[in-house]
Amino acid sequence: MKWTEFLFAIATSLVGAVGGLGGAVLLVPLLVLTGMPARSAAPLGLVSVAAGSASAGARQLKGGVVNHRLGISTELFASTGAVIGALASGLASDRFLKGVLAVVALAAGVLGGRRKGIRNMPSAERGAHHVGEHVGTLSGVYQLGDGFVPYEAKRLRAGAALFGLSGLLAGLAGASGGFIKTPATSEVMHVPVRVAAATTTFTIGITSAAGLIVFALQGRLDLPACAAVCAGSIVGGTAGAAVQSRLAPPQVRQFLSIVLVVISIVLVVRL
Amino acid sequence: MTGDNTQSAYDAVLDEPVPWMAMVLRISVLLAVALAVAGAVMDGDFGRFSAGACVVVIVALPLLRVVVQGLHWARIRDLRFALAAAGLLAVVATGAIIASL
Repeated sequence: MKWTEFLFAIATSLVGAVGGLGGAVLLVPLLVLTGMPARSAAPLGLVSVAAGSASAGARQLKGGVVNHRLGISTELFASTGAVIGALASGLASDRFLKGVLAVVALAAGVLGGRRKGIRNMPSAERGAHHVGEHVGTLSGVYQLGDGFVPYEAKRLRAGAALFGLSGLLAGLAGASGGFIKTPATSEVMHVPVRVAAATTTFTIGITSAAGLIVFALQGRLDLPACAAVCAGSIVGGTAGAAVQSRLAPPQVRQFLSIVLVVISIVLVVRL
Repeated sequence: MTGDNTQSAYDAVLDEPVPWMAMVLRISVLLAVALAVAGAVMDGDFGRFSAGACVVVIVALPLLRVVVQGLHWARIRDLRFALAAAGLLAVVATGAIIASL
């Protein structure tokens, strides 16, 4: 049993789920700081992402908050980036990958701590029977408390570029890229945060699948460690989702942001 | 209408979600947990097989969702998005082909 990977996966997925950033962005730097090469830690990060995405999927489908058209359209760019990143990481030096990881941790810390509140407002013309996504467009309606909020994605080119970048970082560093995708979808494409977060949870599973297939074919998967991380991530992610409703996510996010900035500084010092 | 809400979000036709997808996801996650625990705890060939099968399940699951959504959109003649789903699967397949060379 790979206890270190298992326990780290539980802890990081729990904290990541509460903070809304996902666990991999914490897991990969922690594994690297405990001596694992970055090229071995990256696949484990993607396993953690895929497991977390899968375990949240059923609950989010039931709530009707995932916009599959938006997710799959933008994921075209993210998966292209992930494949390129995963292929490139097989050629890159460990020092370079650690540097990328430090930048990713710093970016996640800064972006995660700056997440905004509600942008789209409920409409009196919409009801429960309107909830879901629309045929032929990147629009939909979701429930916010007692209200129902219509939305439509905007600025697709800028969003697509950021998704490509998030995929590239996911393939290189093994982090989910969700810390870029959710703000890109909500702040750049003007999709409500809840829809953006749920759609991101769906798409990071695809990004990680694209990267993991490349890593598997390169012979970079340590299967017992993958199993330990998968089990730990599902347990930690499920517990984190349960705990999330009892804590104040903004405060947890701020704590997470500080931790990520410290991790990035430690990674840079150790380069 | 307020904020960033737009007229097309009012006029568009609501898509019915694929009804059995949530159930498939729930069962697959339980299967992945069982395989992951077996792969993490057991040594030898069975442990390695379970761990490998666990990775296959969590990789296949999001791709299955893309396939199902793509087929659903093709069936309701939402061809632009059916094409996007096919394109996404082509990207993943291309990555796999390049990595295996």
